[in-house]
Amino acid sequence: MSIFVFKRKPEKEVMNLLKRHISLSIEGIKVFKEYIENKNENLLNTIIKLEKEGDKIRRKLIFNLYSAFLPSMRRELNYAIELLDEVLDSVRHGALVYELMEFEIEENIKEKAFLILDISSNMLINLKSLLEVFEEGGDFEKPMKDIKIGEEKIDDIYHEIYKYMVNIKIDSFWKGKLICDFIDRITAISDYIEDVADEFQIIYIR
Amino acid sequence: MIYINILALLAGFYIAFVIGANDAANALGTSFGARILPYKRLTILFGFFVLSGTLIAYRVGNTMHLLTNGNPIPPLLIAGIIITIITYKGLPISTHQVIVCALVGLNFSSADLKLFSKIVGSWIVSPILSGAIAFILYRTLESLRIPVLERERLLRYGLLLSGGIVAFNLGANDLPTALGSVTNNTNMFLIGGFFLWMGALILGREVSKTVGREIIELSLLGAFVAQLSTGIAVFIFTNFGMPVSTTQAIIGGVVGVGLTKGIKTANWNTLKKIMLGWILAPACALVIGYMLFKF
Repeated sequence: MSIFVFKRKPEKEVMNLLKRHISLSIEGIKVFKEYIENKNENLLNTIIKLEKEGDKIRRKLIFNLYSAFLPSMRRELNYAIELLDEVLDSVRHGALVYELMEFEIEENIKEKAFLILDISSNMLINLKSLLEVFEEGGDFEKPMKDIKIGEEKIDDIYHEIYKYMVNIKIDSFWKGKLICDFIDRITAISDYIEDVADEFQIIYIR
Repeated sequence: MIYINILALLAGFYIAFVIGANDAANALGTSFGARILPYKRLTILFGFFVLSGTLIAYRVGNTMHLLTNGNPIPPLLIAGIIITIITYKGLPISTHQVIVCALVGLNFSSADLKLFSKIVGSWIVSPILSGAIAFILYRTLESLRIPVLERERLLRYGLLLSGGIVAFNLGANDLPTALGSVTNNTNMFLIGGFFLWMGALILGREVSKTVGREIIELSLLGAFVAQLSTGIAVFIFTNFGMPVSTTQAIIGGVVGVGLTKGIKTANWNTLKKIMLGWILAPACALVIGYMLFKF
């Protein structure tokens, strides 16, 4: 329960927009997974649309931020917003790289890519929990720890993929480059989520 | 005689103006640095609290009046010069101590030394009390694990309140320290409060800006707790009619907050220098005053 009778609207709006952006990212990852399964142009368009919507929210967030929080919190929040937007950017870039892959991806790599995306999606859910702790209080450590564990798992999977890839036969330079770019893009998602969480932690500790 | 009183009052009003320019940052620095309100609007709030404080200024004024019954003009002039130098050089020395010691030194034969020793005791206890309050308050607030948004709101309104209490103390304690030896009239304190307010409005902005910028780099919650503890500690002493320094109390508050993170967090070398200043400045004022009194 709030210790104040009156809640300030600008801060609440920023929080809601942040949550909306995270929901879009979760939605983006879900559609991306469907796109990897079934290369349908409509799905790619949905991802692009989601990214554009995320960009609109980012601009609104930056604009609202300066009428909301105290300056001591704005620097970290501003940076967190920019990093969060990179999540949807990475999803879109990953999908665009996948579009260029006119060959069938190895089943082992595909499975691991799904695993990375599932863990990233869970990390985003935990990021949302951190925002709820900002608003309502509660345990900050647990979701923060889960995000860190998620990132470590993805790092391990990333290395496993590369260990596997160095032993497979690649027909052309572009095939190898596209697979590498695809893997790099989907693993970058969790890096950005972890960085956003780190910014939230600075705000929380202060 | 009337000219002497007018001259003494003018010296007192000048000191009030300088206190406003210098010590307004103790009240406004945090809110200004956190950009809660523009400086001019903050000074309106500041003025309201300062003038409210003058309504109980007679308590400290009475102590200052009882301290000596000699000529208040030389000590006020000396104090005015010293305070101007302190403000110009930006030294963390208490104006209170300089005024009181110059007053006692120059009127040594008529000074109530028992009361003076009580005042000196208050100078020692007030930063310790402020530090203790800050330590307990900060620990309590930390243990409450206030959500970030709640904390943000607490700071937004709390900084205005704590700044207001400090401003109230400037009117109730700092001002009668400067004017109490000349008059104990509430109307005069109100006029003095106006001068203090003008000092903050005309010259206080830059000091508040510097203090605010430094505070923003630190924890805002810590700054709020230090300021609130200072306000409470000085208010307690004001009620007992003891002239104590806001500057000293605020340093006690900052140290109190710092000690919650462990004894090593405090910069003891800087603290030693500040404390040396607290001993040397009043001692110099007392000795110079006494020597002038002898000759």
